[in-house]
Amino acid sequence: MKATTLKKAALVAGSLSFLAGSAFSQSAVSGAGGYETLTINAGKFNVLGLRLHEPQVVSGTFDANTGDSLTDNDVNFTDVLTAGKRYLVEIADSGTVIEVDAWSGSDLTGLAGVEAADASDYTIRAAKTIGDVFGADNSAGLTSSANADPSEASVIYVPNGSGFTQVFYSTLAGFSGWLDAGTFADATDLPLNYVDGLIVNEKGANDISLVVTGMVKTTSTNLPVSDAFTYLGTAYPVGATLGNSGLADSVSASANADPSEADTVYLPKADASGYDQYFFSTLAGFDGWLNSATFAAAGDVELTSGIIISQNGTGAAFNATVTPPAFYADL
Amino acid sequence: MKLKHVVATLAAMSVSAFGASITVTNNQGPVNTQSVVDNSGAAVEGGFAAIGTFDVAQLATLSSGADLDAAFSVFDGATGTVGTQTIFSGVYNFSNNGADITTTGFSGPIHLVIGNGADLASSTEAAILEIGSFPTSEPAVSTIFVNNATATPFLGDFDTFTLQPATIPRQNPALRLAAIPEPSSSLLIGLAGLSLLIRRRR
Repeated sequence: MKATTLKKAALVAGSLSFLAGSAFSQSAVSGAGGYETLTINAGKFNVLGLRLHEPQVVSGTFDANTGDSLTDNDVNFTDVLTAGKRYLVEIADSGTVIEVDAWSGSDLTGLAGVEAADASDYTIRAAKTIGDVFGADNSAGLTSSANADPSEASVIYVPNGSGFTQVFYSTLAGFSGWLDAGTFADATDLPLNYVDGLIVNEKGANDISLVVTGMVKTTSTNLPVSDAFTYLGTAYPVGATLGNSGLADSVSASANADPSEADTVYLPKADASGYDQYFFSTLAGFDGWLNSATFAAAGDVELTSGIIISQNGTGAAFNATVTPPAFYADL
Repeated sequence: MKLKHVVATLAAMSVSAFGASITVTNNQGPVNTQSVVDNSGAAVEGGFAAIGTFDVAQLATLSSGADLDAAFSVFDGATGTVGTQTIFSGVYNFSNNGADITTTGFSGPIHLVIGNGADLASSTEAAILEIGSFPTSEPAVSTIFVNNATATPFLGDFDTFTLQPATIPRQNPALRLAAIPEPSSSLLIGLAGLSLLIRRRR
């Protein structure tokens, strides 16, 4: 990613409001929306995150839970959610984001790892899709293939839990549109989760400006970090820095200002030629966020839309909780 | 507290964690795919493919699928099937599990091995190719498209067949598996036996 240009002026606090198709009072929501432009560098692997989101379609308080379901007796999810779409359930207090694909009446079903604490305040918004972000007709302008050959086309790598689903755009008759490079199935509606970082390998000669539109999220977000390198989205489109992100409360720090002892946060360079690495130190005189190479103070370094966290500390998986900058409270 | 949240989220959401994620495939769509065929020219369906490091020194004495299996070290679970997971014939597409490449010990060339059996040990025909090099730094994500322009066969070879990888008729090169032991190895073994016989007769 060469440059992340946020159009602050385009963030219009409170000017965009959405009313979900529900008779229930909880479903009326509002917030700030806008757009940001992400640069996809030609010939590079670009780590990107989605920091503007689909509008909230319903919010409320879950009344009950089981191990794989959440229930809000005040909402009929069948009425307010669209079958076949993926939604993201955001638990307000914890920042947990849960993907949901199935529901029945007042129950969200088929969830994994639900805990009692999740039965609390929540909001639900649709997950963006490949078509939403890059255009169903590839209006983003990624390099396509006339032969349905992913080796000829730009490839979008979407984390899928066990690797990446690779998506490319084809113009070959009979195999046209966004395709899964493994199965050649239509991938236009492949859902994307904003906690994940995407990788875009642009194979054309020119940089591409990708305009992402949507709403600003104003609550905290848990980014699940596994035991090696995890590609993550940073959720908040403007003003988020290493210092104000809250990441210091989640990552493993070094008491010796030794980057090999701490989790490493990789921020892609503007030209996608590599990464700058940062870690958190608690050593007196060298405390705070530091550049791993120069040991310069890095608390004010702005988070890129997509980042990588390398688990160098305890080795255990954890949630890296990011919080919105303080001024988001006024949005 | 952290772990509790991880349980709630990791299980439900897509995450990835990769020092190096290497996808290897010959799946280049209905026009350009170069399929895998057996020694008779039929598309391989149900075969085995993997990437890792092959001990090239063992090539000359390779005499069975078990030998091939013993000489090959798989890179971080990077195995897949041939021909059973896509709409095209004789196609493979798989990735490794995302090892931290600083600790796996892999370096140098990446070898692709393909067998016509469910695994290497049970294969009677195989191909061994050099398809690239392991990354030298992490994080790294890459896709290697295997075809006659990108791969160097040690066993098996690319040949041209009238093969239709999909609904669009094409005459593409295909990777033809060779019998194990490969003919050249058999010849070497035969020559060695012959020399022994000659020495005994003396």
